[in-house]
Amino acid sequence: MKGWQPDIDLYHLLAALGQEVIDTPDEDVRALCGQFGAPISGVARDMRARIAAINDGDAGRSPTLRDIVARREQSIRSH
Amino acid sequence: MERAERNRLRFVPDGTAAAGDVGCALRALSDADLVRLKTLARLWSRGLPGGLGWTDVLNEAIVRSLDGSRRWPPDVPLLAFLSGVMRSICDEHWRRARRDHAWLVATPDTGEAVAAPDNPERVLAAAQALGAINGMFADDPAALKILAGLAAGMTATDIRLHYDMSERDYDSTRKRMRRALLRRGLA
Repeated sequence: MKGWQPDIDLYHLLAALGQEVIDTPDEDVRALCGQFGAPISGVARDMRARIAAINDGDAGRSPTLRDIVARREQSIRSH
Repeated sequence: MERAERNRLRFVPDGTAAAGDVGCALRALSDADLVRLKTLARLWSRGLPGGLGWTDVLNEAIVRSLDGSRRWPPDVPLLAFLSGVMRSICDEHWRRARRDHAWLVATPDTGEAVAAPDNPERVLAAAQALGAINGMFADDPAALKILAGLAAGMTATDIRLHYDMSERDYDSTRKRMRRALLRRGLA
């Protein structure tokens, strides 16, 4: 398809789907977690730990995305 | 975040929340909001080039919110704000990938070297990501129509009119889509 820009389509789609996620009612989130065997408390605990690790003073020392990508590309090249 | 919680935040003179208060607000997110946040991070990072994952994108969004490089405006729910930060991070990453891997081609008229409008890696990665999202709804023709409309930037009304869907069908399909997205976010 001439001139197709899939990243633009993807961007539009993700923006719309992201809003769907935000708009999902709490009761649906809870019901789904139970239904799919992922207790909401477990997911939340994992996320809280992740946020706390950054929130508790490590923010300044976290690598930037550019650093992460550079390290991964270097790692791929060295294999 | 509850309105009462939000009202306890302090705001800096430009009207945005102080960085420390973003930290407090993050700690105050409900369990359901944390599930949504994880789902959003997984959604935004889908198909990113360079091997970036959802935890990288989430971490970067939180860091930028906490160090004040991204300011939380008033009247924007925290999740919507963080989703916007993740979107912006992924957009930057896409643009960087496009720029870093741009091909130089000679124009037929002048022979001058210019960046090629597309490159196969970018097209392939985004097309794969779109394919993966469509694949989640492969058995749901109504959802595929909505996805096609959303990808084209159409509004809900445009999509309903274009595909001749009733409001009820549209809403029930959206509900199924939300469930599928959250299920994927929990994986």
